[in-house]
Amino acid sequence: MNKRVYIKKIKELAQQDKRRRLDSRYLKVMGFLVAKGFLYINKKNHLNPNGHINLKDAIWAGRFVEPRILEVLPAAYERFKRHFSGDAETVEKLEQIIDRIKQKSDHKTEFYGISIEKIRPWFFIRLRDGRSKSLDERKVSKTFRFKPETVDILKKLKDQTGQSETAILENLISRNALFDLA
Amino acid sequence: MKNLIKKIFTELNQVIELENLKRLKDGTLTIPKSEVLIFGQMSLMVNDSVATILNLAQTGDMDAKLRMDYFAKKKLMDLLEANGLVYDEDSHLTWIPGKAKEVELFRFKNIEVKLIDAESTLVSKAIYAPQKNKLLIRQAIAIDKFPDLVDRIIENNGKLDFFLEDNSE
Repeated sequence: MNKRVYIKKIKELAQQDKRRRLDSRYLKVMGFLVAKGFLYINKKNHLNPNGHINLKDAIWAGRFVEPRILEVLPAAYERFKRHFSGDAETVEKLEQIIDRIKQKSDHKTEFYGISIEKIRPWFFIRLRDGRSKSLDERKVSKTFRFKPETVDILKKLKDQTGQSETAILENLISRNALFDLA
Repeated sequence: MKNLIKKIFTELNQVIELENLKRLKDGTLTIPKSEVLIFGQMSLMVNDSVATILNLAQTGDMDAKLRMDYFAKKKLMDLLEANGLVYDEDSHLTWIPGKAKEVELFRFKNIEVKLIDAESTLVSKAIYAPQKNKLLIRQAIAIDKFPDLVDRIIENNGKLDFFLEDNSE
């Protein structure tokens, strides 16, 4: 096939690509991911920060229009689960990726051809809303059983300093940890 | 994106300026002028000549060659993070084709920011990341604005066949 024929065929396919970029599934997913700060685009698109995304549509848009959607989709799903719905198989695939990233697993895995190394950074970025916390900023729930006198001291410290009990404990632990390290 | 990048480098320039004033006062060595060469998708996003003719999307990834001292690099990383962006530490692995040109983006007192020209960025993508950029390359070829793009892809052993693959639904 000569160069001219290649270019002619590529131009035909580019017309089909143009139609796909106007597909409502693509526009809706991009509107959400751009509004949240996972992706940036150079053309105006209706922002959709409160939209509900069907995972099947997001995966279609990632596979047939913009592969970068697949790079950020696991992080977007992890941080905004209530905005997504999908079949059990897709949710399981996403949960597997999320678990591996949380466990800092070296296990080679991919999500629709995108390697975990390409997916990981987007779990830790600062988003536009400033409210949703990245994986490394999020607090972890823990339960401890204290002696009653320790609880009394903690309450007194809370009243005296105006800090939360969690903040008091975190400060004490980080101060001790610094001494231990020194 | 261009405004965001301008904001980041304006702030970095100011931080370096203040640090240099402090160092001059202390009689210590000042920070030399920094150079940044942006490539990859961000170089297309901030390039006015292509931003209107191509449909571009990008993650918060910045691929760039940085020539700057430790203080400036650390401040740049902090500023990128604060703005939801990430510097790709594998930037040095990006292949830049022969005949690539550097285009000035911003010039500050303490930093010079340049880009790789759009056609060379597209050639690099067509050779090393064709899957991720299939639609972008097809659009770039279709609009006839990059006269040497196809020839340069062929010259660099790129496979035009790949861009004919229609990923049917």
